[in-house]
Amino acid sequence: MTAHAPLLAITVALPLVGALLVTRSLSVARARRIGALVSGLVVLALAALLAALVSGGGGRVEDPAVALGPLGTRPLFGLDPLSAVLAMTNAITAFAVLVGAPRARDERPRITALLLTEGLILTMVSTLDLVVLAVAFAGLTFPARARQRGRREGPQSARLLRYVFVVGALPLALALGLVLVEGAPLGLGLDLRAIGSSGGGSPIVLGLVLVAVFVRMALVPGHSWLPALTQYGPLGTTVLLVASQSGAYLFVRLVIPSLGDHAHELTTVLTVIGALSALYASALAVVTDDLRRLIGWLSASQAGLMLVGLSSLEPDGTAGAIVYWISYGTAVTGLALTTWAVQARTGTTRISELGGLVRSAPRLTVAFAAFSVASVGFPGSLGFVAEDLLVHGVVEAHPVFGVVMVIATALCGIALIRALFGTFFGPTKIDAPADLRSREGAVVAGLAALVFGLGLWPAPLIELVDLARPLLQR
Amino acid sequence: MSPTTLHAALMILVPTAPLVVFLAISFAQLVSARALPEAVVGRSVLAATALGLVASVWLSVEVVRAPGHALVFDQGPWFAIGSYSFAGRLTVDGLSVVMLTLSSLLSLIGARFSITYIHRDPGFNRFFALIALFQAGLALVLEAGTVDLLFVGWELVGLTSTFLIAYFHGREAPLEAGLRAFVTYRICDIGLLAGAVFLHYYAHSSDAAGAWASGHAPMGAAALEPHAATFVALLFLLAAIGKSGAFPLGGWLPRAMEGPTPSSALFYGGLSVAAGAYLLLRVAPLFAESPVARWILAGVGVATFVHATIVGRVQTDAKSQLAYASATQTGLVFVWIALDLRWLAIVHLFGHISLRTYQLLRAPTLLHDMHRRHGALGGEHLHTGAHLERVIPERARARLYRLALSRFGVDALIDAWLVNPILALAGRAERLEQRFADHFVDRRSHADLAAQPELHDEDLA
Repeated sequence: MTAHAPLLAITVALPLVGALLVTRSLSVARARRIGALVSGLVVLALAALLAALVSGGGGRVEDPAVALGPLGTRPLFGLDPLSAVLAMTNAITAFAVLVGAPRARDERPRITALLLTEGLILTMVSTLDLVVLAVAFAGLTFPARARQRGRREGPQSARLLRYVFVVGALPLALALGLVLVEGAPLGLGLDLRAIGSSGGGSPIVLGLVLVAVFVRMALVPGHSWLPALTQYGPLGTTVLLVASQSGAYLFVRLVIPSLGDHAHELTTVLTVIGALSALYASALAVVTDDLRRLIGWLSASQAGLMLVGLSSLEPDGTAGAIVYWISYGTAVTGLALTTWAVQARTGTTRISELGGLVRSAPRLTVAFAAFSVASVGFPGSLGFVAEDLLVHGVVEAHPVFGVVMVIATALCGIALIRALFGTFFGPTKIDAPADLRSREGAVVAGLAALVFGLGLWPAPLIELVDLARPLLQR
Repeated sequence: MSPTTLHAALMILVPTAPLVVFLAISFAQLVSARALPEAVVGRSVLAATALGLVASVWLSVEVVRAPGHALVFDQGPWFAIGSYSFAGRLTVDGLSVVMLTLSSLLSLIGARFSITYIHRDPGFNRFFALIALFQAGLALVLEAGTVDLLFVGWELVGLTSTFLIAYFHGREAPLEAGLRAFVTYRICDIGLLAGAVFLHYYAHSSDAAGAWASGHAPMGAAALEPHAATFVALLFLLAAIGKSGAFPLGGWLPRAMEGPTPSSALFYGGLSVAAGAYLLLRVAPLFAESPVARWILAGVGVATFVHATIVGRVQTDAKSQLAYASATQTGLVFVWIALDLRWLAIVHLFGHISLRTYQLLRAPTLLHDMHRRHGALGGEHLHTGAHLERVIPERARARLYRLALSRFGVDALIDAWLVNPILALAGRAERLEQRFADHFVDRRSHADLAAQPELHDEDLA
């Protein structure tokens, strides 16, 4: 269905306009209000679009077509059930980080970077054009880098962000170049709606896109940047980057439709890589001594599991991967917010330097415990539903890797309980000067209600994902 | 209300009542600045447990009145996609009602005992919230109509067990004990989840009728090919070993006594460790199909009771002795299941859980009880037991004693051969990864960050 006004373009532009307003705002309080208002509006607008999609029984909401010269006349933005549900998840994540993060003396640069990152993520998931998608994908690390330049204290991660940009975006740029030079060969056109309609993709183009996917999903051996970035990078934008799963989105949009006749061989290789990545990252999560680094390893592990689910091409496996996408994105945001709160109160995220925080911050402890169990798919959380679907889907095609996935999840659970015990229990090493404030508590409670509410009543979400599932079948 | 509707309501009530109490206590604790009064918390848990007991007894009567028929409540799929669905089915049969009634009764006794025992402890409300969650999880394990649903309850039992072992969290020892228990649970739960998944893979179902036991439990027959039955049965055995503290992964069980005595009584005196034996009884038809799985189960059972009975004799505190006594009996129950003596296993389990829970609840008054007994006997000492000592030569006894003191080095061997090498390898890889991070990040002012937490003054107001 085509909207009468460019609703999507306006929604996508909202955070970018908000970022501009924040840079011009004279006070921090005003900047905070702008950030909260804009991200809240985006959530509401996307909820309305999602409702329209569901009531229409699927399909796609598209902006009116625009004339693109020699490239024809076509819409630039459109949402199908898959991109709508992912956009909604990212909008909620961004709202939570903007409102629920610990406050700094002047957080205008942070709010600007967060709004810009949100705008780029929304652009990526709602665009129907390959070039716009590639630019948004590549540009996701820019807002964080721009913010790094203005920082005087704290570790400088600009070099790391540049590395992520180069190794992630370069192969994609080469692939895009080949597509443009060869005139959209073998199914990979500039209009995302037409991808795969003329058969499989060129192996070189597909290979280059896969490299970009591997690096951005932090799969072994392109994984090391993620724990480094969560440890030293700006946590807010890093969380948005992690929750957006831009690499997985690229995989879903470009790789799955272009798999062609050799899908089975390729998906087997991807399953092996995904499962081993998940296992490796979860093993390192068990031994790491830094809460922020732990989030990085968990995210790398979950990305591996998602790749395995998506590569299964089975209904339950792919649906499980999408539910995982949503549940982990939400849960990791909660986990990051609580970790951030620990750092803001104690000045450290090293587990060995922490201990006994439960006495001074009991609500923070409960929040960390809740998001820990939600992140690893404990029963009652949405992650459990996702894990159940994922493992069942994978076992049909690759029984051994189904077991590897279960082992990886078990290790992640051990890592989080170890972190919980080390940080919040035991003899007190550092006291928190304050527990979760009501603002932080409200945001964290909202995220928890979402993760556990959908975990107990997953049927509506599963029906929505079922609408999106045909988009993941070759 | 029709009988079917009533049965369904009762079946739902058993796990739901304590779950609602858990949620209510947790919510009240989080939103209110003042702790809930002990009387409110204690009575709420007692009321939920009593409701569960009444419902269990009612269900037992119904099952006895219609022998050979299970009560089934089918809510339809909890969630479904493609050809896969997660069935929301509760089943109460001969095996469930025995365990359900016993667990409700012991939970009620344990909860009542705890109201006095934990009185004025700062963690009173936390303790009762966890006990309520444990009851909900255990009821779900016992009523689950599919292995998928059983897994949900199983995980709840494991998590509450971990947090109750680490209840006195100000000290390191309970935390280490809780973490050890959690690691064992988590590793062994791989077996349960993988078993459920492979049941779907082989039988396209994880419920009793479709997969492992047509007929009334515990006397059903499996519908799987022998090789599939062996594989799935061994996966379930792994899960049961972890939960029951069986050989060789029972190192967490004596350490679990760091928790408060009432929770030790409920969990490790019987109900939680019995969940492993219950799982094996549920899937006993799979073992009946597979001689290999039965031999291995029997081996585990024998190793468990021999190891536990010898090591238990050298323990210097009552709770550890009782933990090993619990493991000894669990080992024997494993053997009965391996021999396909399912009713004997149930009767043994019933007696063992009842006695052990009683003994553990009496453990804090052990000296008082001994003095009373001593007085009643007119100063005479009772010389019972010591059966092993009578049959083993003295030289071998000394060696056995030394081995028993070190628990036969089982934990040390597992740590040295399995855990430490894996952790060392992961640690080496993590140090390499950290070097990568440090190469790309300028940490010059990292110390400044620690000195200047990002918490703004207004957040502390």
